[in-house]
Amino acid sequence: MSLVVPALPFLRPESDAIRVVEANIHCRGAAPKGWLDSLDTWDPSTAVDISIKTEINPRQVFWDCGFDSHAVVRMVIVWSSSDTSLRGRGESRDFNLSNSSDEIETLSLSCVLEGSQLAGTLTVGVQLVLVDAGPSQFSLTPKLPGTLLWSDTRATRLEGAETRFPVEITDFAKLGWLPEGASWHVSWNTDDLHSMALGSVILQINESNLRIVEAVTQAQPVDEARLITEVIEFDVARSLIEGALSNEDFVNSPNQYEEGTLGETLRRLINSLFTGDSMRALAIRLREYPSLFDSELQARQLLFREGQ
Amino acid sequence: MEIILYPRIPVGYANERANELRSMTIQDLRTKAAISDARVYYAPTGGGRASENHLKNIADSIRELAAEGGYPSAFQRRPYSEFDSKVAEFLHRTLQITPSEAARLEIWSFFTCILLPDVVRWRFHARSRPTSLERYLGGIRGVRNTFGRLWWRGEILQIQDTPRPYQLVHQLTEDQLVQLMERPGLSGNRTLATAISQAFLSAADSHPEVTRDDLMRDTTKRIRRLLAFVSFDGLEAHELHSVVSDAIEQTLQMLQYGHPAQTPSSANNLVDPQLSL
Repeated sequence: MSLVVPALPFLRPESDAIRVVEANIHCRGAAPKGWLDSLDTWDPSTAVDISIKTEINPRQVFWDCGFDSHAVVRMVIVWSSSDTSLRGRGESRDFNLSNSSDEIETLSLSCVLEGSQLAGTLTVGVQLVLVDAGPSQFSLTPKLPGTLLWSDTRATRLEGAETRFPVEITDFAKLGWLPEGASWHVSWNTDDLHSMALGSVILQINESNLRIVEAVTQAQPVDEARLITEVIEFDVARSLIEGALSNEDFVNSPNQYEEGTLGETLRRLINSLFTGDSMRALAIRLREYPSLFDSELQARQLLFREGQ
Repeated sequence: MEIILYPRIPVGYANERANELRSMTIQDLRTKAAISDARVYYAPTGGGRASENHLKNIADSIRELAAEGGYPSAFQRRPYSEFDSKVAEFLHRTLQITPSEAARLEIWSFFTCILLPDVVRWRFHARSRPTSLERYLGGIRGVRNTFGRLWWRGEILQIQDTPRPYQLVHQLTEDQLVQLMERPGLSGNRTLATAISQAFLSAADSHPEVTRDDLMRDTTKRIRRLLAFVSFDGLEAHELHSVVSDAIEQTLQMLQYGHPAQTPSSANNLVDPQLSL
Protein backbone atom coordinates (compact mmCIF):
# COMPACT_ATOMS: atom_id res chain seq x y z
CA MET A 1 0.00 0.00 0.00
CA SER A 2 1.31 3.45 -0.78
CA LEU A 3 -0.36 6.40 0.84
CA VAL A 4 -0.58 9.53 -1.30
CA VAL A 5 0.17 12.59 0.77
CA PRO A 6 -0.43 15.70 -1.35
CA ALA A 7 1.11 18.10 1.18
CA LEU A 8 3.18 16.93 4.08
CA PRO A 9 2.04 18.56 7.32
CA PHE A 10 5.48 19.41 8.63
CA LEU A 11 8.32 21.75 7.78
CA ARG A 12 10.99 20.67 5.33
CA PRO A 13 14.16 22.33 4.01
CA GLU A 14 13.85 24.84 1.18
CA SER A 15 14.97 23.52 -2.19
CA ASP A 16 18.28 25.40 -2.14
CA ALA A 17 19.47 23.88 1.14
CA ILE A 18 20.68 20.59 -0.38
CA ARG A 19 21.61 19.44 -3.86
CA VAL A 20 23.35 16.51 -5.50
CA VAL A 21 26.46 17.61 -7.37
CA GLU A 22 27.79 14.25 -8.55
CA ALA A 23 26.57 10.64 -8.64
CA ASN A 24 28.39 7.55 -9.80
CA ILE A 25 27.36 3.95 -10.20
CA HIS A 26 29.51 1.22 -11.68
CA CYS A 27 30.27 -2.46 -11.49
CA ARG A 28 33.17 -3.44 -9.23
CA GLY A 29 36.39 -3.08 -11.20
CA ALA A 30 34.97 -0.67 -13.80
CA ALA A 31 35.83 3.02 -13.96
CA PRO A 32 33.20 5.51 -12.70
CA LYS A 33 31.38 7.24 -15.57
CA GLY A 34 28.69 9.13 -13.74
CA TRP A 35 25.18 7.79 -13.25
CA LEU A 36 24.29 5.09 -15.79
CA ASP A 37 20.76 4.10 -16.84
CA SER A 38 21.87 0.48 -17.07
CA LEU A 39 24.82 -1.64 -15.98
CA ASP A 40 25.33 -3.85 -19.01
CA THR A 41 28.14 -5.99 -17.59
CA TRP A 42 26.48 -6.67 -14.24
CA ASP A 43 25.65 -10.18 -13.11
CA PRO A 44 24.70 -11.47 -9.66
CA SER A 45 28.32 -12.22 -8.80
CA THR A 46 29.33 -8.60 -9.44
CA ALA A 47 29.26 -5.98 -6.68
CA VAL A 48 27.96 -2.50 -7.47
CA ASP A 49 29.80 0.61 -6.24
CA ILE A 50 27.80 3.78 -5.64
CA SER A 51 29.01 7.21 -4.62
CA ILE A 52 26.96 10.40 -4.32
CA LYS A 53 28.34 13.84 -3.57
CA THR A 54 25.98 16.47 -2.17
CA GLU A 55 26.20 20.04 -1.01
CA ILE A 56 24.24 20.80 2.13
CA ASN A 57 23.76 23.90 4.23
CA PRO A 58 23.04 22.29 7.62
CA ARG A 59 22.18 25.49 9.43
CA GLN A 60 19.64 26.39 6.77
CA VAL A 61 18.12 22.91 7.12
CA PHE A 62 17.75 23.38 10.87
CA TRP A 63 16.28 26.85 10.40
CA ASP A 64 13.85 25.77 7.65
CA CYS A 65 12.57 22.82 9.70
CA GLY A 66 12.32 24.73 12.97
CA PHE A 67 14.78 22.48 14.82
CA ASP A 68 16.57 23.66 17.91
CA SER A 69 20.15 22.89 18.94
CA HIS A 70 19.27 19.41 20.26
CA ALA A 71 17.97 18.03 16.98
CA VAL A 72 19.93 15.52 14.89
CA VAL A 73 19.40 14.87 11.17
CA ARG A 74 21.09 12.33 8.93
CA MET A 75 22.21 12.24 5.32
CA VAL A 76 22.18 8.62 4.18
CA ILE A 77 22.34 6.55 1.02
CA VAL A 78 19.43 4.10 0.70
CA TRP A 79 18.80 1.50 -1.97
CA SER A 80 16.13 -0.93 -3.12
CA SER A 81 16.09 -3.69 -5.72
CA SER A 82 12.88 -4.20 -7.72
CA ASP A 83 13.01 -7.96 -8.26
CA THR A 84 14.37 -9.13 -4.91
CA SER A 85 12.33 -6.38 -3.15
CA LEU A 86 15.26 -6.01 -0.76
CA ARG A 87 16.31 -2.61 0.51
CA GLY A 88 18.97 -1.20 2.77
CA ARG A 89 21.33 1.63 3.51
CA GLY A 90 24.87 2.68 2.84
CA GLU A 91 27.10 5.31 4.38
CA SER A 92 25.58 8.11 6.43
CA ARG A 93 26.52 11.22 8.36
CA ASP A 94 24.66 12.83 11.22
CA PHE A 95 24.40 16.59 11.64
CA ASN A 96 23.50 18.76 14.57
CA LEU A 97 24.04 22.42 15.15
CA SER A 98 27.20 21.91 17.17
CA ASN A 99 29.01 19.99 14.44
CA SER A 100 27.80 22.19 11.57
CA SER A 101 29.31 25.34 10.16
CA ASP A 102 27.56 28.34 8.66
CA GLU A 103 28.84 27.41 5.25
CA ILE A 104 27.77 24.95 2.60
CA GLU A 105 29.38 21.59 3.23
CA THR A 106 30.31 19.07 0.57
CA LEU A 107 29.45 15.55 1.62
CA SER A 108 30.51 12.35 -0.17
CA LEU A 109 28.66 9.16 0.71
CA SER A 110 29.26 5.73 -0.75
CA CYS A 111 27.77 2.28 -0.74
CA VAL A 112 28.87 -1.16 -1.96
CA LEU A 113 26.09 -3.58 -2.84
CA GLU A 114 26.62 -7.31 -3.21
CA GLY A 115 25.24 -8.49 -6.54
CA SER A 116 23.65 -11.50 -4.84
CA GLN A 117 21.11 -9.18 -3.20
CA LEU A 118 20.02 -7.52 -6.43
CA ALA A 119 17.91 -8.17 -9.52
CA GLY A 120 15.89 -6.05 -11.93
CA THR A 121 16.09 -2.31 -11.36
CA LEU A 122 18.22 -0.82 -8.62
CA THR A 123 16.89 2.41 -7.12
CA VAL A 124 19.30 4.50 -5.10
CA GLY A 125 18.51 7.58 -3.10
CA VAL A 126 20.31 10.01 -0.90
CA GLN A 127 18.01 11.09 1.89
CA LEU A 128 17.93 13.58 4.71
CA VAL A 129 16.03 12.00 7.59
CA LEU A 130 15.26 13.11 11.09
CA VAL A 131 17.05 11.15 13.81
CA ASP A 132 16.04 13.10 16.90
CA ALA A 133 13.86 16.21 16.98
CA GLY A 134 14.91 17.28 20.46
CA PRO A 135 12.46 19.11 22.67
CA SER A 136 11.12 21.52 20.04
CA GLN A 137 7.64 22.83 20.90
CA PHE A 138 6.89 24.20 17.44
CA SER A 139 3.90 22.24 16.15
CA LEU A 140 5.02 22.08 12.53
CA THR A 141 8.51 20.81 13.33
CA PRO A 142 8.94 17.13 12.33
CA LYS A 143 9.18 14.89 15.36
CA LEU A 144 9.03 11.24 14.37
CA PRO A 145 12.44 9.58 13.88
CA GLY A 146 12.89 8.61 10.26
CA THR A 147 10.76 11.47 8.91
CA LEU A 148 11.88 12.04 5.33
CA LEU A 149 12.93 15.68 5.03
CA TRP A 150 14.53 15.61 1.57
CA SER A 151 15.50 12.99 -1.00
CA ASP A 152 16.99 12.61 -4.45
CA THR A 153 16.36 9.27 -6.14
CA ARG A 154 17.67 7.67 -9.32
CA ALA A 155 17.41 4.23 -10.89
CA THR A 156 19.65 1.89 -12.85
CA ARG A 157 18.62 -1.20 -14.72
CA LEU A 158 20.80 -4.18 -13.94
CA GLU A 159 21.23 -5.72 -17.33
CA GLY A 160 23.77 -8.46 -17.88
CA ALA A 161 23.22 -11.18 -20.45
CA GLU A 162 21.79 -13.53 -17.87
CA THR A 163 19.01 -11.14 -16.98
CA ARG A 164 18.04 -10.63 -20.63
CA PHE A 165 17.35 -14.23 -21.52
CA PRO A 166 17.87 -17.67 -20.06
CA VAL A 167 20.20 -20.27 -21.52
CA GLU A 168 19.11 -23.86 -21.94
CA ILE A 169 21.74 -26.51 -22.60
CA THR A 170 20.14 -29.49 -24.24
CA ASP A 171 20.78 -32.31 -26.69
CA PHE A 172 19.41 -31.15 -30.05
CA ALA A 173 19.30 -34.76 -31.29
CA LYS A 174 16.86 -35.66 -28.51
CA LEU A 175 14.68 -32.60 -29.10
CA GLY A 176 14.00 -33.79 -32.62
CA TRP A 177 13.01 -30.43 -34.09
CA LEU A 178 16.38 -28.70 -34.24
CA PRO A 179 19.19 -29.72 -36.63
CA GLU A 180 21.46 -32.14 -34.77
CA GLY A 181 24.58 -30.38 -35.98
CA ALA A 182 23.53 -26.86 -35.02
CA SER A 183 25.37 -25.29 -32.09
CA TRP A 184 22.77 -22.88 -30.80
CA HIS A 185 19.25 -21.67 -31.45
CA VAL A 186 17.43 -18.52 -30.34
CA SER A 187 13.91 -19.55 -29.42
CA TRP A 188 11.30 -16.78 -29.29
CA ASN A 189 8.03 -15.65 -30.81
CA THR A 190 8.34 -12.51 -32.96
CA ASP A 191 4.57 -11.98 -32.82
CA ASP A 192 4.33 -11.84 -29.02
CA LEU A 193 6.26 -8.76 -27.98
CA HIS A 194 3.81 -7.95 -25.19
CA SER A 195 4.99 -10.95 -23.16
CA MET A 196 7.53 -10.44 -20.40
CA ALA A 197 11.10 -10.45 -21.65
CA LEU A 198 12.21 -13.00 -19.08
CA GLY A 199 10.99 -16.40 -20.13
CA SER A 200 10.04 -15.29 -23.66
CA VAL A 201 13.49 -15.73 -25.16
CA ILE A 202 15.61 -18.80 -24.64
CA LEU A 203 19.07 -19.40 -26.02
CA GLN A 204 19.31 -23.12 -26.60
CA ILE A 205 22.82 -24.56 -26.68
CA ASN A 206 23.51 -27.98 -28.17
CA GLU A 207 25.19 -29.98 -25.41
CA SER A 208 26.94 -32.15 -28.00
CA ASN A 209 29.12 -29.17 -28.93
CA LEU A 210 31.46 -29.15 -25.95
CA ARG A 211 33.45 -26.06 -27.00
CA ILE A 212 30.27 -23.98 -27.11
CA VAL A 213 28.97 -25.40 -23.82
CA GLU A 214 32.27 -24.66 -22.10
CA ALA A 215 32.33 -21.12 -23.47
CA VAL A 216 28.82 -20.14 -22.39
CA THR A 217 29.16 -21.64 -18.91
CA GLN A 218 32.33 -19.73 -18.00
CA ALA A 219 31.88 -16.85 -15.58
CA GLN A 220 34.57 -14.72 -17.24
CA PRO A 221 35.21 -16.17 -20.71
CA VAL A 222 38.62 -15.42 -22.21
CA ASP A 223 40.44 -16.17 -25.48
CA GLU A 224 38.47 -18.61 -27.65
CA ALA A 225 35.58 -18.76 -25.19
CA ARG A 226 35.30 -14.97 -25.33
CA LEU A 227 35.17 -15.02 -29.13
CA ILE A 228 32.49 -17.71 -29.08
CA THR A 229 30.32 -15.85 -26.61
CA GLU A 230 30.72 -12.62 -28.59
CA VAL A 231 29.55 -14.36 -31.76
CA ILE A 232 26.58 -15.87 -29.94
CA GLU A 233 25.68 -12.54 -28.32
CA PHE A 234 25.85 -10.88 -31.73
CA ASP A 235 23.70 -13.57 -33.30
CA VAL A 236 21.11 -13.30 -30.52
CA ALA A 237 20.97 -9.53 -30.86
CA ARG A 238 20.72 -9.82 -34.64
CA SER A 239 17.90 -12.34 -34.38
CA LEU A 240 15.96 -10.22 -31.89
CA ILE A 241 16.48 -6.90 -33.66
CA GLU A 242 15.67 -8.22 -37.11
CA GLY A 243 12.64 -10.05 -35.73
CA ALA A 244 11.35 -6.89 -34.07
CA LEU A 245 11.94 -4.76 -37.17
CA SER A 246 10.01 -7.32 -39.23
CA ASN A 247 7.02 -6.95 -36.91
CA GLU A 248 4.79 -4.20 -38.38
CA ASP A 249 3.04 -3.61 -35.07
CA PHE A 250 6.37 -2.95 -33.37
CA VAL A 251 7.63 -0.69 -36.16
CA ASN A 252 4.40 1.35 -36.16
CA SER A 253 4.23 1.83 -32.35
CA PRO A 254 7.46 0.92 -30.61
CA ASN A 255 6.42 2.82 -27.46
CA GLN A 256 3.28 0.78 -26.88
CA TYR A 257 4.99 -1.90 -24.77
CA GLU A 258 4.93 -1.92 -20.99
CA GLU A 259 8.08 -2.01 -18.90
CA GLY A 260 9.66 -5.42 -18.70
CA THR A 261 8.03 -6.74 -21.86
CA LEU A 262 10.00 -8.10 -24.75
CA GLY A 263 8.84 -5.20 -26.95
CA GLU A 264 10.10 -2.62 -24.46
CA THR A 265 13.41 -4.43 -24.06
CA LEU A 266 13.92 -4.57 -27.83
CA ARG A 267 12.98 -0.92 -28.27
CA ARG A 268 15.61 0.07 -25.73
CA LEU A 269 18.19 -2.22 -27.31
CA ILE A 270 17.59 -0.83 -30.79
CA ASN A 271 17.55 2.77 -29.56
CA SER A 272 20.85 2.25 -27.76
CA LEU A 273 22.51 0.85 -30.89
CA PHE A 274 20.90 3.11 -33.49
CA THR A 275 20.50 6.40 -31.67
CA GLY A 276 18.48 8.88 -33.73
CA ASP A 277 17.18 6.39 -36.32
CA SER A 278 13.44 5.77 -36.49
CA MET A 279 12.14 2.21 -36.37
CA ARG A 280 10.56 2.73 -39.79
CA ALA A 281 13.87 3.81 -41.32
CA LEU A 282 15.66 0.83 -39.79
CA ALA A 283 12.96 -1.59 -40.98
CA ILE A 284 13.33 -0.30 -44.54
CA ARG A 285 17.12 -0.59 -44.38
CA LEU A 286 16.80 -4.17 -43.15
CA ARG A 287 14.33 -5.08 -45.88
CA GLU A 288 16.22 -3.37 -48.75
CA TYR A 289 19.82 -4.08 -47.73
CA PRO A 290 19.82 -7.02 -45.30
CA SER A 291 23.52 -7.90 -45.59
CA LEU A 292 24.53 -4.26 -45.16
CA PHE A 293 22.26 -4.04 -42.11
CA ASP A 294 24.05 -7.05 -40.58
CA SER A 295 27.40 -5.36 -41.15
CA GLU A 296 26.13 -2.15 -39.61
CA LEU A 297 24.96 -4.13 -36.60
CA GLN A 298 28.42 -5.70 -36.29
CA ALA A 299 29.95 -2.24 -36.29
CA ARG A 300 27.53 -0.88 -33.70
CA GLN A 301 27.94 -3.88 -31.42
CA LEU A 302 31.74 -3.54 -31.73
CA LEU A 303 32.04 -7.24 -32.49
CA PHE A 304 35.55 -8.53 -31.66
CA ARG A 305 36.73 -5.03 -30.83
CA GLU A 306 36.65 -5.03 -27.05
CA GLY A 307 39.84 -3.49 -25.71
CA GLN A 308 40.91 -2.01 -29.05
CA MET B 1 28.51 -20.70 0.78
CA GLU B 2 28.87 -22.58 -2.48
CA ILE B 3 26.02 -21.41 -4.69
CA ILE B 4 23.87 -24.07 -6.32
CA LEU B 5 22.04 -23.37 -9.56
CA TYR B 6 18.60 -24.95 -9.77
CA PRO B 7 16.68 -25.95 -12.89
CA ARG B 8 14.32 -23.36 -14.31
CA ILE B 9 11.36 -23.73 -16.61
CA PRO B 10 10.11 -20.98 -18.95
CA VAL B 11 7.25 -18.87 -17.60
CA GLY B 12 4.95 -19.78 -20.50
CA TYR B 13 5.57 -23.48 -20.00
CA ALA B 14 4.97 -23.12 -16.26
CA ASN B 15 1.63 -21.51 -17.03
CA GLU B 16 0.62 -24.42 -19.24
CA ARG B 17 1.75 -26.97 -16.66
CA ALA B 18 0.05 -25.20 -13.76
CA ASN B 19 -3.26 -25.06 -15.60
CA GLU B 20 -3.00 -28.76 -16.25
CA LEU B 21 -1.88 -29.76 -12.74
CA ARG B 22 -4.10 -27.62 -10.53
CA SER B 23 -7.18 -29.85 -10.85
CA MET B 24 -5.54 -33.27 -10.72
CA THR B 25 -5.63 -35.62 -7.76
CA ILE B 26 -2.70 -35.84 -5.39
CA GLN B 27 -2.17 -39.46 -6.41
CA ASP B 28 -2.04 -38.60 -10.11
CA LEU B 29 0.30 -35.69 -9.45
CA ARG B 30 2.65 -37.96 -7.50
CA THR B 31 3.10 -40.04 -10.63
CA LYS B 32 3.76 -36.91 -12.72
CA ALA B 33 6.38 -35.54 -10.33
CA ALA B 34 9.91 -35.71 -11.73
CA ILE B 35 13.41 -34.45 -11.03
CA SER B 36 13.91 -33.20 -14.58
CA ASP B 37 12.02 -32.16 -17.67
CA ALA B 38 12.83 -31.61 -21.34
CA ARG B 39 12.23 -27.87 -20.94
CA VAL B 40 14.52 -27.16 -18.00
CA TYR B 41 17.44 -24.78 -18.34
CA TYR B 42 19.96 -23.22 -15.97
CA ALA B 43 21.57 -19.87 -15.36
CA PRO B 44 24.80 -19.95 -17.41
CA THR B 45 27.06 -18.82 -14.57
CA GLY B 46 27.12 -18.23 -10.85
CA GLY B 47 27.51 -21.68 -9.34
CA GLY B 48 27.36 -25.41 -9.85
CA ARG B 49 24.24 -27.13 -11.11
CA ALA B 50 22.09 -29.07 -8.67
CA SER B 51 22.65 -32.80 -9.16
CA GLU B 52 19.72 -35.13 -9.71
CA ASN B 53 20.57 -36.78 -6.41
CA HIS B 54 20.38 -33.43 -4.61
CA LEU B 55 16.99 -32.67 -6.19
CA LYS B 56 15.70 -36.11 -5.24
CA ASN B 57 16.83 -35.65 -1.64
CA ILE B 58 15.02 -32.31 -1.48
CA ALA B 59 11.82 -33.81 -2.85
CA ASP B 60 12.04 -36.80 -0.49
CA SER B 61 12.67 -34.57 2.54
CA ILE B 62 9.74 -32.29 1.77
CA ARG B 63 7.42 -35.26 1.27
CA GLU B 64 8.57 -36.63 4.64
CA LEU B 65 7.69 -33.31 6.28
CA ALA B 66 4.34 -33.38 4.49
CA ALA B 67 3.76 -36.93 5.73
CA GLU B 68 3.99 -35.62 9.30
CA GLY B 69 0.94 -33.52 8.41
CA GLY B 70 -0.92 -36.43 6.88
CA TYR B 71 0.28 -36.41 3.26
CA PRO B 72 -1.08 -37.73 0.97
CA SER B 73 -4.32 -37.72 2.98
CA ALA B 74 -6.02 -34.58 4.16
CA PHE B 75 -4.36 -32.40 6.77
CA GLN B 76 -4.32 -33.47 10.36
CA ARG B 77 -4.86 -30.94 13.08
CA ARG B 78 -2.69 -27.77 13.04
CA PRO B 79 -0.55 -28.93 10.17
CA TYR B 80 -0.28 -25.79 8.07
CA SER B 81 2.03 -23.66 10.14
CA GLU B 82 4.13 -26.62 11.30
CA PHE B 83 4.63 -27.90 7.77
CA ASP B 84 5.32 -24.41 6.43
CA SER B 85 7.80 -23.43 9.12
CA LYS B 86 9.69 -26.71 8.90
CA VAL B 87 9.91 -26.50 5.12
CA ALA B 88 10.92 -22.82 5.33
CA GLU B 89 13.86 -23.69 7.54
CA PHE B 90 14.72 -26.77 5.48
CA LEU B 91 14.67 -24.90 2.16
CA HIS B 92 16.66 -21.96 3.45
CA ARG B 93 19.29 -24.20 5.01
CA THR B 94 19.51 -26.62 2.08
CA LEU B 95 19.08 -24.78 -1.20
CA GLN B 96 22.17 -22.54 -1.01
CA ILE B 97 20.82 -19.89 -3.34
CA THR B 98 21.11 -16.11 -3.26
CA PRO B 99 18.19 -13.64 -3.18
CA SER B 100 19.10 -12.70 -6.75
CA GLU B 101 18.57 -16.30 -7.86
CA ALA B 102 15.54 -16.78 -5.59
CA ALA B 103 13.85 -13.79 -7.25
CA ARG B 104 13.53 -15.87 -10.43
CA LEU B 105 10.03 -17.30 -10.71
CA GLU B 106 11.32 -19.90 -13.16
CA ILE B 107 13.13 -21.70 -10.32
CA TRP B 108 10.11 -21.86 -8.05
CA SER B 109 7.98 -22.94 -11.02
CA PHE B 110 10.33 -25.92 -11.42
CA PHE B 111 9.76 -26.85 -7.78
CA THR B 112 5.99 -26.60 -8.02
CA CYS B 113 5.28 -27.74 -11.59
CA ILE B 114 7.93 -30.45 -12.00
CA LEU B 115 9.51 -31.57 -8.72
CA LEU B 116 6.66 -31.48 -6.18
CA PRO B 117 3.28 -30.77 -7.84
CA ASP B 118 1.62 -33.30 -5.54
CA VAL B 119 2.74 -31.47 -2.41
CA VAL B 120 1.45 -28.16 -3.80
CA ARG B 121 -1.97 -29.72 -4.36
CA TRP B 122 -1.91 -31.32 -0.91
CA ARG B 123 -0.88 -28.08 0.84
CA PHE B 124 -3.41 -25.92 -1.00
CA HIS B 125 -6.13 -28.42 -1.62
CA ALA B 126 -9.54 -26.84 -1.91
CA ARG B 127 -12.22 -29.49 -1.87
CA SER B 128 -13.34 -30.22 -5.46
CA ARG B 129 -11.87 -26.93 -6.63
CA PRO B 130 -8.62 -26.32 -8.50
CA THR B 131 -5.63 -25.08 -6.53
CA SER B 132 -4.95 -21.38 -7.08
CA LEU B 133 -2.53 -20.78 -9.97
CA GLU B 134 -0.39 -18.46 -7.87
CA ARG B 135 0.55 -21.40 -5.64
CA TYR B 136 2.27 -22.90 -8.68
CA LEU B 137 3.52 -19.72 -10.31
CA GLY B 138 4.33 -17.25 -7.64
CA GLY B 139 3.67 -13.48 -7.68
CA ILE B 140 6.47 -10.94 -7.24
CA ARG B 141 9.77 -12.75 -6.41
CA GLY B 142 7.76 -15.91 -5.70
CA VAL B 143 6.14 -14.77 -2.44
CA ARG B 144 2.96 -16.69 -3.27
CA ASN B 145 4.59 -19.74 -4.79
CA THR B 146 4.16 -22.70 -2.42
CA PHE B 147 7.91 -23.07 -1.89
CA GLY B 148 9.24 -19.65 -2.88
CA ARG B 149 7.26 -17.96 -0.14
CA LEU B 150 8.75 -20.31 2.44
CA TRP B 151 12.35 -19.75 1.33
CA TRP B 152 11.80 -15.98 1.52
CA ARG B 153 10.45 -16.30 5.06
CA GLY B 154 13.69 -17.99 6.07
CA GLU B 155 15.75 -15.38 4.23
CA ILE B 156 14.04 -12.31 5.65
CA LEU B 157 13.34 -13.46 9.20
CA GLN B 158 16.43 -15.46 10.07
CA ILE B 159 18.51 -13.96 12.87
CA GLN B 160 22.09 -14.92 12.21
CA ASP B 161 24.57 -15.90 14.89
CA THR B 162 21.90 -17.04 17.31
CA PRO B 163 21.21 -20.59 18.58
CA ARG B 164 17.82 -20.64 16.82
CA PRO B 165 18.17 -18.49 13.70
CA TYR B 166 14.74 -19.49 12.35
CA GLN B 167 12.89 -18.93 15.60
CA LEU B 168 10.66 -16.19 14.16
CA VAL B 169 9.59 -18.39 11.24
CA HIS B 170 8.42 -21.03 13.73
CA GLN B 171 6.75 -18.65 16.15
CA LEU B 172 4.66 -16.56 13.74
CA THR B 173 1.44 -17.99 12.32
CA GLU B 174 0.43 -17.99 8.67
CA ASP B 175 -1.77 -14.92 9.02
CA GLN B 176 0.93 -13.03 10.89
CA LEU B 177 3.57 -13.95 8.31
CA VAL B 178 1.34 -12.88 5.43
CA GLN B 179 0.92 -9.44 7.03
CA LEU B 180 4.69 -9.05 6.85
CA MET B 181 5.91 -11.03 3.87
CA GLU B 182 3.35 -9.91 1.31
CA ARG B 183 4.09 -6.23 2.04
CA PRO B 184 7.38 -5.41 0.30
CA GLY B 185 7.58 -2.11 2.20
CA LEU B 186 7.93 -4.14 5.40
CA SER B 187 9.63 -7.36 4.36
CA GLY B 188 12.16 -5.75 1.99
CA ASN B 189 13.99 -4.26 4.96
CA ARG B 190 15.21 -7.25 6.99
CA THR B 191 15.89 -5.14 10.07
CA LEU B 192 12.38 -3.70 10.00
CA ALA B 193 10.74 -7.10 9.45
CA THR B 194 12.60 -8.74 12.33
CA ALA B 195 12.01 -5.71 14.57
CA ILE B 196 8.27 -5.89 13.96
CA SER B 197 8.23 -9.65 14.55
CA GLN B 198 10.20 -9.49 17.77
CA ALA B 199 8.23 -6.56 19.16
CA PHE B 200 4.97 -8.24 18.20
CA LEU B 201 5.85 -11.54 19.89
CA SER B 202 7.00 -9.78 23.03
CA ALA B 203 3.81 -7.69 23.21
CA ALA B 204 1.60 -10.69 22.46
CA ASP B 205 3.21 -12.65 25.30
CA SER B 206 2.80 -9.74 27.69
CA HIS B 207 -0.82 -9.15 26.72
CA PRO B 208 -2.55 -12.53 26.36
CA GLU B 209 -5.90 -10.76 26.54
CA VAL B 210 -5.27 -9.24 23.08
CA THR B 211 -6.00 -11.33 19.99
CA ARG B 212 -2.63 -11.97 18.37
CA ASP B 213 -3.74 -11.67 14.76
CA ASP B 214 -5.49 -8.36 15.53
CA LEU B 215 -2.32 -7.09 17.15
CA MET B 216 -0.20 -7.95 14.12
CA ARG B 217 -2.69 -6.63 11.57
CA ASP B 218 -3.17 -3.30 13.31
CA THR B 219 0.54 -2.84 14.00
CA THR B 220 1.57 -3.51 10.39
CA LYS B 221 -1.21 -1.22 9.19
CA ARG B 222 0.13 1.61 11.35
CA ILE B 223 3.68 1.08 10.19
CA ARG B 224 2.63 0.91 6.54
CA ARG B 225 0.90 4.27 6.93
CA LEU B 226 4.18 5.72 8.14
CA LEU B 227 5.94 4.53 4.98
CA ALA B 228 4.41 7.50 3.14
CA PHE B 229 6.72 9.94 4.92
CA VAL B 230 9.11 7.91 7.09
CA SER B 231 12.27 6.31 5.76
CA PHE B 232 12.86 3.20 7.83
CA ASP B 233 15.83 2.47 5.60
CA GLY B 234 17.53 5.62 6.87
CA LEU B 235 17.36 4.56 10.51
CA GLU B 236 19.76 2.43 12.50
CA ALA B 237 18.43 -0.68 14.18
CA HIS B 238 17.92 0.78 17.65
CA GLU B 239 16.14 3.85 16.23
CA LEU B 240 13.92 1.64 14.12
CA HIS B 241 13.04 -0.52 17.11
CA SER B 242 11.89 2.59 18.92
CA VAL B 243 9.45 3.56 16.14
CA VAL B 244 8.11 0.00 15.94
CA SER B 245 7.67 -0.18 19.71
CA ASP B 246 5.61 3.01 19.61
CA ALA B 247 3.37 1.55 16.89
CA ILE B 248 2.87 -1.60 18.97
CA GLU B 249 2.08 0.47 22.03
CA GLN B 250 -0.53 2.47 20.13
CA THR B 251 -2.09 -0.73 18.80
CA LEU B 252 -2.31 -2.19 22.29
CA GLN B 253 -3.97 0.96 23.58
CA MET B 254 -6.41 0.92 20.67
CA LEU B 255 -7.29 -2.75 21.11
CA GLN B 256 -7.65 -2.44 24.88
CA TYR B 257 -9.20 1.00 25.31
CA GLY B 258 -10.48 1.97 21.88
CA HIS B 259 -8.05 4.84 21.27
CA PRO B 260 -4.30 5.09 20.71
CA ALA B 261 -1.95 6.46 23.33
CA GLN B 262 0.05 9.61 22.67
CA THR B 263 3.58 8.26 22.96
CA PRO B 264 6.45 10.77 22.82
CA SER B 265 7.25 10.14 19.20
CA SER B 266 3.67 9.64 18.08
CA ALA B 267 2.95 13.25 19.03
CA ASN B 268 4.33 13.57 15.63
CA ASN B 269 4.29 15.46 12.42
CA LEU B 270 0.69 14.38 12.06
CA VAL B 271 -1.32 17.52 12.28
CA ASP B 272 -3.45 16.51 9.31
CA PRO B 273 -6.40 14.56 10.75
CA GLN B 274 -6.53 12.40 7.61
CA LEU B 275 -3.13 11.06 8.52
CA SER B 276 -3.95 10.51 12.13
CA LEU B 277 -3.06 7.06 13.34
